[in-house]
Amino acid sequence: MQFGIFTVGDVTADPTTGRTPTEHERIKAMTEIAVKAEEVGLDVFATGEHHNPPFVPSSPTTILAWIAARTERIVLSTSTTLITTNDPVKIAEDFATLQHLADGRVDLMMGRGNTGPVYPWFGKDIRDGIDLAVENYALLHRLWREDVVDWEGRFRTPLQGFTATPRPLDGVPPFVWHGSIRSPEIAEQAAYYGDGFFHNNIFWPKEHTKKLIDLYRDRYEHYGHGTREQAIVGLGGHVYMRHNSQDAIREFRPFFDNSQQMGGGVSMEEYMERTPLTVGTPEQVIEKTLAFRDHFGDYQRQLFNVDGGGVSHKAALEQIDMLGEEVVPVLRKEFAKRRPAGVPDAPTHASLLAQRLAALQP
Amino acid sequence: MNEDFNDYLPNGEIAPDRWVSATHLFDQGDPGSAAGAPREESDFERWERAQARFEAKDFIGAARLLAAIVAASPQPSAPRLLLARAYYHSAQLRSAEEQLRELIDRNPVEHYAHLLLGRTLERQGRQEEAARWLRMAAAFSGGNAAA
Repeated sequence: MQFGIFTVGDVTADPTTGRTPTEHERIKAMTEIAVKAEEVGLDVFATGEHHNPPFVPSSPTTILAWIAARTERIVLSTSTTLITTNDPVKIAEDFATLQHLADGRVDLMMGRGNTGPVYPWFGKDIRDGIDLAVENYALLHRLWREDVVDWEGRFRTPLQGFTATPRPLDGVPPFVWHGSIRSPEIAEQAAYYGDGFFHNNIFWPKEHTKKLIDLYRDRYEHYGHGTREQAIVGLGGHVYMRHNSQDAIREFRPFFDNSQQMGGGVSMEEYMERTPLTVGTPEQVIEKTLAFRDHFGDYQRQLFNVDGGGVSHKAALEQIDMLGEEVVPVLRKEFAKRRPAGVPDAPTHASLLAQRLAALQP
Repeated sequence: MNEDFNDYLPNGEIAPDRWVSATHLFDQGDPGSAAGAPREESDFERWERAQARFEAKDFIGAARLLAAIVAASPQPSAPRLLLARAYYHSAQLRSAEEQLRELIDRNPVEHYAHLLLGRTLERQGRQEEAARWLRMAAAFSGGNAAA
């Protein structure tokens, strides 16, 4: 099973100091988080994509390439890549290039994006959100697998005899997760292609999550990619830990209250009841994460957010230390114990290449 | 193309018929080969969506879909009966009455339609008219008119 960190690169004032980090500080902080994540033994680092303040990751593959040069093992991914407003040709090119630079340590997560104004900035209409996600990914899927592509669609100018360069590393496209919080259509899309499904359920109660994941699993099996237990599922989480749970709660409360997404509604305690947010001890994070398996079945990837909402860079790195030293080793052991034999790991470049070579055998 | 793809209910929950239409997204296979044509929704899919809305208690939404289905295919009784029930549950009593009378015309011994027509008239304060239909409903079902 894979464990990692995801960040959305938000530039938020620290409510306890009143200071907002600079964009320069945030970009550097994101790369340090990735390097730290590898140091402590985590498997994945993922960055979001945003095109407006108060966010910095408008050029995800630039950031990931820098990280690739300074790491050796960690898988570089996204949370998410905008499949709606980006040109699929550009996505194909950027991520294939990254694959070559990172020797295959790349996968990515498709998302529709949660920022309305982005659509018109890139010449799109938000009402076409789902249709864009479906059509653009269909093109991207072909660009990586067919050397020469003819294409006609609703949303992009036609292509004739087009080759996306560079071709994917070893002829193996990066593995794709489809990220959705509330869209059955995206679960269906992931199932159709036999791709992974990622539920970044940090803001959403578990009953909704379960229904969406169940749909993905059922349809994965329907499309003949394997049994529903073999479908590839990822989950998001959000943690703030201290060795004393009262300290964690006391320290994090101002960040919770200040948060656009979380604050101003139910109490932090109730929020933690209903969502994956865990503010407490490493043991509490272990317990809560193990419970995800009870709700959603065996899954392949668990990502944690530690730097959102203005938390200091120092505190974020401390979270990663605790994840690496105390939480993830236990989770690895416990999840492995509970996983039945037939359930696969998340695909990697190596495993996909091996599959491809096996399929090419006479 | 289903215009409700980005639909959410007022409480933020996913519009119920999206669970249905999602599973038909790839009916025509690889969307890459569709040459940009918007997907046509089949009559069956529309019927499934209407039922999903009804089950989720979106009676007004269900009624809208069902009215179109019934207008397109007036013969089958199942959609018309569900339409009548959707009208009834969203207090569109005149419309419910109209559909139920049409149903009974086409299916003279359909007991549930009689029963529901009686209830619809009762809710409109037309007790005497209602009584007649309720008696017939009881006669057809062999049970108690008040059941």
